[in-house]
Amino acid sequence: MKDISDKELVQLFLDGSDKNHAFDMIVRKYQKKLYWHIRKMLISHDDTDDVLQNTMINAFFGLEHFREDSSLYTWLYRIATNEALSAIKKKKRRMILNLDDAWSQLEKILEEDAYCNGDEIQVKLQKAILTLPEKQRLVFNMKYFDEMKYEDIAEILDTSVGALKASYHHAVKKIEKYLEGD
Amino acid sequence: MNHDHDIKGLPDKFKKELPFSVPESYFENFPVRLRDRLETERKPGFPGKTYRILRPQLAIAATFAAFIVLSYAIIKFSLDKNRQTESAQEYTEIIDYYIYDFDDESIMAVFTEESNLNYLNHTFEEEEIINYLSEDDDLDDTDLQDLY
Repeated sequence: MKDISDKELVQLFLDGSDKNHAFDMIVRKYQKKLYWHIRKMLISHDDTDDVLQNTMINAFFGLEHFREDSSLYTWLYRIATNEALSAIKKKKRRMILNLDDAWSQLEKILEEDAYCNGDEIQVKLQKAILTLPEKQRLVFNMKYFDEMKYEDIAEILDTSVGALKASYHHAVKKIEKYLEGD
Repeated sequence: MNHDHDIKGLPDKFKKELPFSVPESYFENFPVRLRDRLETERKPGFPGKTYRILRPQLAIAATFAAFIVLSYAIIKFSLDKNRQTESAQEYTEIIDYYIYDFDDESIMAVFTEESNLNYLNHTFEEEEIINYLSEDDDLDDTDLQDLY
């Protein structure tokens, strides 16, 4: 299959004649990256599936307004990030009457979910990451696991490179402390 | 090695692996499932783009409306309850008010007036008694005759 650039995909979509096929190609190109980005935040596969669907649906309806100020991938990543953060906020609101907080719930999923089945050390690292505030978790995941450049992360999260470097540095320190303490 | 990515306390082997898996064929099927969902959302009558954009505002408006209705119901209920209590109170007050117009002597006088006591001296004829009793539907003529 010929590799089509993002620009061509967007053009094909906007032309309207083959909208569905163009969008299908966009989905197939980015679904895995977006899935794992969301999954690292939400932990649960089912929650991730919901958010990924919502992300793609928002992308479908929003693509006609895509101004190409950023790359298509950055744009999609931004939608996925916002959807994941909204999902976490919604979960926290539902937890108000529950004795378990959102953090405990995510830890529980890590330990019990059928699709969470890693090594003890991998799980320990994920638990350490869960202790971070959401935005810091995002920064850590995108830098550590996705190995993204600070400039790209800054564009997605709409923040400065300096703030991101500081945030990542603090995140690493907290995680090291957690791993030492256990 | 990029020191930015080093985390002390983690063996190299596990550094970048995630303890997560996905259901079999998840990524193969996802585009198809998404297409089906998009078809549903694009059907006429299905809440469209405007609804999706206005959904948060609609939720706030609905919450506000529900609050107003609930407040109205509570206020109305408590007002009605007060009114009922007031009605009962009114009756009590009326009775209390008028009862003082009557003293014990007046009440006794009504009962002891000669004209009112005349019935005690009246002798009832057999026929009168039968007629009176026959007003009771449970008694038939045979029962009545048996009495006499």
